[in-house]
Amino acid sequence: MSWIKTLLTYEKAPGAWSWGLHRITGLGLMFYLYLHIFALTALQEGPEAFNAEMELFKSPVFMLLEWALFGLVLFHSFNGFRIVLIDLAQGAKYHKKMLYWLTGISIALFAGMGYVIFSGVFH
Amino acid sequence: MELTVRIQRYDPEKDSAPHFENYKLENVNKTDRILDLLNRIKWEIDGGLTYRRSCTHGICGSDAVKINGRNRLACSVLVQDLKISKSTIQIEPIPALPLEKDLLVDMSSFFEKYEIVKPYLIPKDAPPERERYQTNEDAELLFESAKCIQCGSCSTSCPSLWVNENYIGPAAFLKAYRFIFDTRDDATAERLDLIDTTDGLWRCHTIFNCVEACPKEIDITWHISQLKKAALRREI
Amino acid sequence: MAYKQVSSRSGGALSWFLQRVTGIVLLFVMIGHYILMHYNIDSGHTYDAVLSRMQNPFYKGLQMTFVVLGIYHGVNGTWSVVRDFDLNKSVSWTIYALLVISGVVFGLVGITTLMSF
Repeated sequence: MSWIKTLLTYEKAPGAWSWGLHRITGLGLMFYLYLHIFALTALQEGPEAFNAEMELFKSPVFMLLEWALFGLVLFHSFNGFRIVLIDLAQGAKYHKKMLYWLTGISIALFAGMGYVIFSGVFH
Repeated sequence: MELTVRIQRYDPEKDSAPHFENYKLENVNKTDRILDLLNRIKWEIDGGLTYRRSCTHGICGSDAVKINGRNRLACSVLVQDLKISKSTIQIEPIPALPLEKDLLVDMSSFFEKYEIVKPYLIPKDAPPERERYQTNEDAELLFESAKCIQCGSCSTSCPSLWVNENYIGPAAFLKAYRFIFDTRDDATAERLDLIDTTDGLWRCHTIFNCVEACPKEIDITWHISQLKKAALRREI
Repeated sequence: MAYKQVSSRSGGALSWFLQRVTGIVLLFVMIGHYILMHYNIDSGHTYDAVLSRMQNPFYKGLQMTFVVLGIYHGVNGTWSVVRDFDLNKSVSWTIYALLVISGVVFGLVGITTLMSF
């Protein structure tokens, strides 16, 4: 397990951050996907069970979680796009620039989503 | 200026584990190389300090060490190139290789992996009377990969190697590229077979630590991406 | 340590490539899912709203794609994290089996829910 110490002490350049975050967000989304599929089994039990469950998700805590989830989705999507360009195009030559741009756009979209969720325009 | 050099020391005959020791140096110039600082400590303070160096000019590739958290060549980095906090420079051996003494590591596994990819020309035809010709364009494909000095900075900077010592690593891939994309070489399939494995190309997750570490500024990840595409083309 | 080349050509290229292809498809499916299912003026999250949405074969197909590709991408991705480690054979096979079984089970659960309309 000495690799943990090496990982923590070694300098982390942008590429290393994006790799680490891609794995963490990926595992998180995998977990969430299972949770999502499980939660929707309430649909099989009829309207009452499902509507009761949906009421629960309207609480502020779940709004925050929903916002956080969008953060994971944003990072994983954009960085995944970056990885595809690195692997299948010439992205290795401009990978840092891509990361900065995608991070910038992500922050803007994340803020926008925060407005959408908490203002309740679409609910 | 005054600088503290914090060096990881380890004497297998005395110590049970590596530890750090601080050395204060006066009259350090910002244009001194890190290797100069190591030499001063060895010559003026502690003659027992052990590290590799040979040409001292960034050609032989023997003095790769971890300086301030990143693998670099001690002879190619000046004091002014570093972000120095609290007037301290920290020097450790490169990671993930067996530690012999102080900054000295056993490089044999690194070179064994190098040999896996058959780092020599394998042509079909018998040697011509004179040299094997290449066009300028064909030669240009190889220039960057041929700059490698085999210092080990890249492979030992890779998290995939830290968690799994079987990983072949970027240095060997770069050498594979140098021959696979050489128009005079005819062993492309054979060489791809050797790196298109679970311990090979597919452990590379484009982390770019190797590119950050390379003292010759080779875009290793780009070269590996070309190899991945070549391996993929055989499948589809 | 004398290094030995033990692993052999393994089709790693194909799963590596499929991970990228499914990733790109999922990018679009995700946008569709977000906009169509959750964030538009008349989406709604009541049972009846979901029921009426699922009458539309396009929506149903989109969800089906999401479940299948999402689970494939997730299982494949998690496995690529796990197999980076130098685990002994029995441990890595156990994790592999758990991943595949969980993927199949949750995939079937998701499809069952979708087909119940």
